[in-house]
Amino acid sequence: MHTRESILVYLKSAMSELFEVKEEDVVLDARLYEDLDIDSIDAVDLIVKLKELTNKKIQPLKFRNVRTVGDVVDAVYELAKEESEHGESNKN
Amino acid sequence: MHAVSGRFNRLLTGINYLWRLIATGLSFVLFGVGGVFISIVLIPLFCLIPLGRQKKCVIYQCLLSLLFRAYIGFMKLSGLLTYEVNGRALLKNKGQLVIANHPTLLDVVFLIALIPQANCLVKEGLWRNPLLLGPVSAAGYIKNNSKQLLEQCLKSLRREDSLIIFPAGTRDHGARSLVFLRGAANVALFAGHDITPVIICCVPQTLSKEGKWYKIPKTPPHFIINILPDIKIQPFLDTGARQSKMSRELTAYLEGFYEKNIGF
Repeated sequence: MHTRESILVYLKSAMSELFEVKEEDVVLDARLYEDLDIDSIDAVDLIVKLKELTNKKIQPLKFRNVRTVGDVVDAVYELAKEESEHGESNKN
Repeated sequence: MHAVSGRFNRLLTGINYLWRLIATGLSFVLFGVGGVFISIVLIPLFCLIPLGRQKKCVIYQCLLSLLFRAYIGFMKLSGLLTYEVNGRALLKNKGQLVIANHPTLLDVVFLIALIPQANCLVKEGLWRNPLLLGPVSAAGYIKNNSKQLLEQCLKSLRREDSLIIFPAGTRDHGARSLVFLRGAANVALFAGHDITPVIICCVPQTLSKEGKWYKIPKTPPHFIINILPDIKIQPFLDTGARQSKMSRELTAYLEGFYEKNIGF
């Protein structure tokens, strides 16, 4: 099960690998476009990368209103939660 | 004798300066009048012609090229500026992706004048300028904040319109290094389209972002417009990297290329 903290750690390494940003700049209230210079085309690559974490198809629509790193963490957390709940109910 | 000729020269310089100040004002007025003329005379007339929107855009783009050529001719004739264009033959194909640095207000005027028919990525503020709203929308230029920005640029190249992009986004004169936005690189990479680089230099500086229109230089500015051989896009695509990485690499390459050729 992913926690918000573990998602942030993953995001730090993914974003520094993909976009040449410093890990210490990837903080919850950093704005993606203004502070980290990540545009809509970069977002496509980021979503692909996030898929590797959640093992789940990600609807880009869920990321439409994402503005900050914190928003991304929340969106991924919600997805992961849905997935695990879904998994639980399948087991039952 | 020397003192007299010295004073006479100063007087001539003074008169020349005053004339150029008046002519500068006049050029701005002329630009505005042109915009209004297009908006209230040409556009309504063109509405009567039964042609598709796309065909009309092409006609307006050609028309603006002619008008800008005349406008630059006027400024040259009135002694406001001098210019030289090197490598013009490199700009004669259709559907070129033309990328230029952006030191002055006149860069886009020069480029549109030099290319018989070109689309252009321009800042959306122009759509809020009553003098320019008519021409920019009639020519179908692409707004820099459009949601379908990339798609519109790619479509334009597919139609074999040339496309002018200033990746610095805004006028950059005075800076000692260039910072380009990645949009231009993304267009080139997605389209798999070579880049025709244009280097614009203007000495002494005029019509920059910081300067006021009436602060004209002591001597008329000289524009040098160098069109260089295409930058091939295939080597960047061949890296097979993710789009986000490729566009950063190409943008960094372009910044270095322009800095080197401007002579920073």
